[in-house]
Amino acid sequence: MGILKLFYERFFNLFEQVGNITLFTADTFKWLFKKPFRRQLVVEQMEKIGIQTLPVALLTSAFTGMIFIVQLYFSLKEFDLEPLCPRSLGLTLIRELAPILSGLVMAGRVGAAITAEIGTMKVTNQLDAITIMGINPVQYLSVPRLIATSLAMFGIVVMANFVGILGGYLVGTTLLDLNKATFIAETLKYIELKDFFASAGKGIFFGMIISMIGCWRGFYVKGGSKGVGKATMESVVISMILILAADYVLNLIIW
Amino acid sequence: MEILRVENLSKAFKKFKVIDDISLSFEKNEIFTLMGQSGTGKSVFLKLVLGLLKPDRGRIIFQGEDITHASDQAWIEIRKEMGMLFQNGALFDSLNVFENVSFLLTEHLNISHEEKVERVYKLLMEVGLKGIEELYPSELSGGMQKRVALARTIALNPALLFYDEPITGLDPITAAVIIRLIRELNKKNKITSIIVSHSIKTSLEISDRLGLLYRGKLVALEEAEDIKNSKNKYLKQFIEGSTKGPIEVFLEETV
Repeated sequence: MGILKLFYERFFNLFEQVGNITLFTADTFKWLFKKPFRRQLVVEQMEKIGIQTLPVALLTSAFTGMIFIVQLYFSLKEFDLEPLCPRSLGLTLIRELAPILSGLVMAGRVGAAITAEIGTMKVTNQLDAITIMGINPVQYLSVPRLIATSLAMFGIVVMANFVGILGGYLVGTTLLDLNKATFIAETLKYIELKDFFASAGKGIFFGMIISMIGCWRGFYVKGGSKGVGKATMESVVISMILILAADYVLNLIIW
Repeated sequence: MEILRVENLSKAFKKFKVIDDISLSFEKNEIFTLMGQSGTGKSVFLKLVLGLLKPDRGRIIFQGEDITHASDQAWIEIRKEMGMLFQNGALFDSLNVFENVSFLLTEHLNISHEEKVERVYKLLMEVGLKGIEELYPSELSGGMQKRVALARTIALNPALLFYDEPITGLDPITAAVIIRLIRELNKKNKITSIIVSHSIKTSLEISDRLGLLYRGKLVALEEAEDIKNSKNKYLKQFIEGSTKGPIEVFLEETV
């Protein structure tokens, strides 16, 4: 009976959380199109997000490309299929690895920072202060973060695609015996414009997930500094799970 | 002339009545103090009047208009006429003193930077501060933080100002400075002040009228000059700090 009750409570709680996230996201989108538009806040957030995420995301992508080409090369060489390496690397990176890895890196750094910042504002009455000053806190805090995170993710994914392939190219053509000209030609031949747009689109969508979860957990923090810590951890975990789930669904839709 | 009136205001959390059928009106330019022990619903009363919480029952009339069920957009306009000084100041810790004080000016007025600078300096002078514009809240003492918060609150010259425990946690001299500031703002700027406090000395010193909350009910309402001769048993017990009387006190047995 105890287990059933616990299962029921957890299940009910999950539905409640999904409902809360949906309402919060709807509220943010409602305020997205209302004046005033705070461009300065968007720019500030983009700077912050770029500094926090770009170096780690690019480094992750570069190493992924470098490792991936080595694994591909030795697996395919057994069947004399190593010329397929550039094509496989390019498609896998652009379609999957660059957006996913950038999303996970951003969830860990930016999502956590957003929750910690807004959560601290909540427990020290700063959110109430914003409300009392006649400013909607969702419009002031959540909207700029939604725009900035989505735009930043677009840029980061585009760069991560390039850096990842570059990493693979450098290792493939210097340490392995892949031909430079063929590598470039093969990569460009098989990557379509659709792949590029899908990759960037995924980035924007993952950015939306990260900002919405980060802001939502921050706005609904309970229990002082301990609550902020708990919410920050939850924000990262929920964002990562949602990114992976969303990626699966997007793959089914796009390809 | 009346500025704010609450009629039969009630609020409960689960089954616990925090505000129980309170009716009260506030005159323009008066200083009113709402006293009571910790946990008697004083802060909840403020949050109800400021629209941060929705009442279960009753009406709130501000400047002759029923604002009980005002929309989010309407509250934005209403709150421009109100201000609140939080117990902890609630300064934005990511902004410096200048940015904190100019926050309302930036958000609500379309003025030049030069005019903003001039007004911020004037506001800081009003609360007896200068030369701290570049400092961040974490670099200020508790008393200075409250004065900066007060400067920020009065930036748009609100008609009604709420103070939540304005001198709690301050040394006697800093507390005296804050009390003097509240008085000066009341006289010079004609701001109606509603103070929530459990300090009898301050309440008697500063207020025109006082009310006492006990278990969510308004059990006493007196002019400040009549307090000492009041026959109200609740008020008498509260002022004398006695454990005997209608206000129940639960003392833990000590060995």
